[in-house]
Amino acid sequence: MEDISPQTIKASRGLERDFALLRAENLVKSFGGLRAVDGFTLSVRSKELVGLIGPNGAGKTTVFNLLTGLESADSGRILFNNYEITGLPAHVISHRGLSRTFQNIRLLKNLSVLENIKIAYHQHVRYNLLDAVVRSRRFRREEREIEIKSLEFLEIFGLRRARHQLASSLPYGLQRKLEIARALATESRLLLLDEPAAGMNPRETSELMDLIRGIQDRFDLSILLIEHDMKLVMNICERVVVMDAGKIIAKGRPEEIRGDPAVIEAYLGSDFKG
Amino acid sequence: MHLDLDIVFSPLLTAGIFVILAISLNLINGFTGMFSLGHAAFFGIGAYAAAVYMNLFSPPLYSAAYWGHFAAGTALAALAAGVFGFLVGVPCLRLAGDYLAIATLAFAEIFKILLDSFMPEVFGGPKGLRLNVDKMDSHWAFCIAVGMILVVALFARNLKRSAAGRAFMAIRENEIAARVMGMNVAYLKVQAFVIGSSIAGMAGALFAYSNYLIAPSNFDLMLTIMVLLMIVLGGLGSITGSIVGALVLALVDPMVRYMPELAGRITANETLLRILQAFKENPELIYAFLLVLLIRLRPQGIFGMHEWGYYLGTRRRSREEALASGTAHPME
Repeated sequence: MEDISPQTIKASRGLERDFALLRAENLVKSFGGLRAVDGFTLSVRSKELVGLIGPNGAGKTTVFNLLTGLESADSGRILFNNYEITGLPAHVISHRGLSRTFQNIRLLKNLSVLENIKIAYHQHVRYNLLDAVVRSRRFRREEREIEIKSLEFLEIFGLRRARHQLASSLPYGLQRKLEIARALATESRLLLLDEPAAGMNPRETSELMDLIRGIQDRFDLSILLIEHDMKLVMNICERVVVMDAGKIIAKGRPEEIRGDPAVIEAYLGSDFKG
Repeated sequence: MHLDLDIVFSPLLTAGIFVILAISLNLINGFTGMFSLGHAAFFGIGAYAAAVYMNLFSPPLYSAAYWGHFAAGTALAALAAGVFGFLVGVPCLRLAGDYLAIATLAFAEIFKILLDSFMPEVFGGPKGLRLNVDKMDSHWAFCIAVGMILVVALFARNLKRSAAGRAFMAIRENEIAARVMGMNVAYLKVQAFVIGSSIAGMAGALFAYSNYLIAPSNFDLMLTIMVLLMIVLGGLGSITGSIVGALVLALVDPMVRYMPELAGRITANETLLRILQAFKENPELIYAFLLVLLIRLRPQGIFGMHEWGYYLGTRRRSREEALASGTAHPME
């Protein structure tokens, strides 16, 4: 647990914050001769907001793919909520409470905004195919619950009025929000956000920051986010992990990272002033 | 009198069977987005299962026993096609796109070739399998087809509006997103494939019972292509679209057949009659014409992914909401 800095522990409000919800130990992933991820070790505590930064090609998205089971690690272990999830299929990991968004938005483009949220409840549905076909009472009750909960999420994200629109017809910023809403609607405990502010203007980015903080507080979430927008990362992350060429080169609080010479050289550029 | 009824109902029955096939293929190709080219085989498996079963009992036509065996034979056809759907689906559905199309096409061809030589005393060999029971009159078979269409369409509609239907569409739209949302994609794909196959098997039973003879050549690739055209015309993912698409394409053939004769009674225009005669001899021309029209005017199909009624209310409402949401501010 060497990656938990004493300052953050001191800053924590309760004991439960020290509980490591996610622990990745020494993950390695190679593509051919390229070591995309080389010895990645990280733990994310309950209700913590951690930023993962690094130059393009550093292996950040690959880490996300390993954690969510879309790709399997060559070696290393992943523990979530004290259960080993290494090598489990993606849908099982999702059932355990780990959800994510994608750098290139993966919405169901030809379905409505509401339907996009509703699919997040798939894993919680208890009625079977027969219930659905005869529209049994159980089916109708669960579908009503899904509808109500989905609309609540859309309300939080300011998308309720657009619920009948096709997801593809939303402006880019709203598509990003819809994807976050969908990931959240799976009732996950850890959210992995892959460049949530990509393509957003400064106003949208600052709205997004408020939104992320808001949902983290409201749903007691842990969040791990990849981001290139330094302002966003420095403002909302409690802890930042910096990757370069598959390796972690620095960890710490934002203000520590800011001054770290290795980070400045690898990522921020030598003339970075902060 | 009998003959007159048959002239009307025989093409209608064919259209009805095509409607069932179109809905079932739409569950696989349209909803779940798996490109299957093996549908004719499942239709054939159903037909052969139903025919072999009926030949075991050969009850007199329209007796109480006949209807009992009819129901049992149809259920057996659905079961047989579903089992084969499962056996083909489990290994093949790991393949994506064109590779799945090739694998299912190969299965359909193997099925056809196997029928030519495998146990001819049971399956009749290349000349086909004769039914020991008289064939059902087309008007009765048509009534049953209508009943089946209602049941199947209602089934598909309820499925589309359930978690399973949403999951199928999620897989079509974005498989990786579906996995991350907690969907067991491999399981759901097999499920959709088995459901689609067994409905095709049911259609096969009706086909067998309304014919004297079923032969391997009834279940060739052209049949699959035809059904595929129907669902593309109607709109992939739309049940209403499948019904309309199947009716349009299946009724083109009988309509053009009588066109020259009917037109001859009204007009004596030589050129027009010659054109109509050309269409009668080559009904494929009409299909080609319709397809060109479709691609030019409405590439998403007549109904797109939507159902009957969507264009009456929902779209207007959603457009108003779209305008409203443009100014909507989040987190208020």
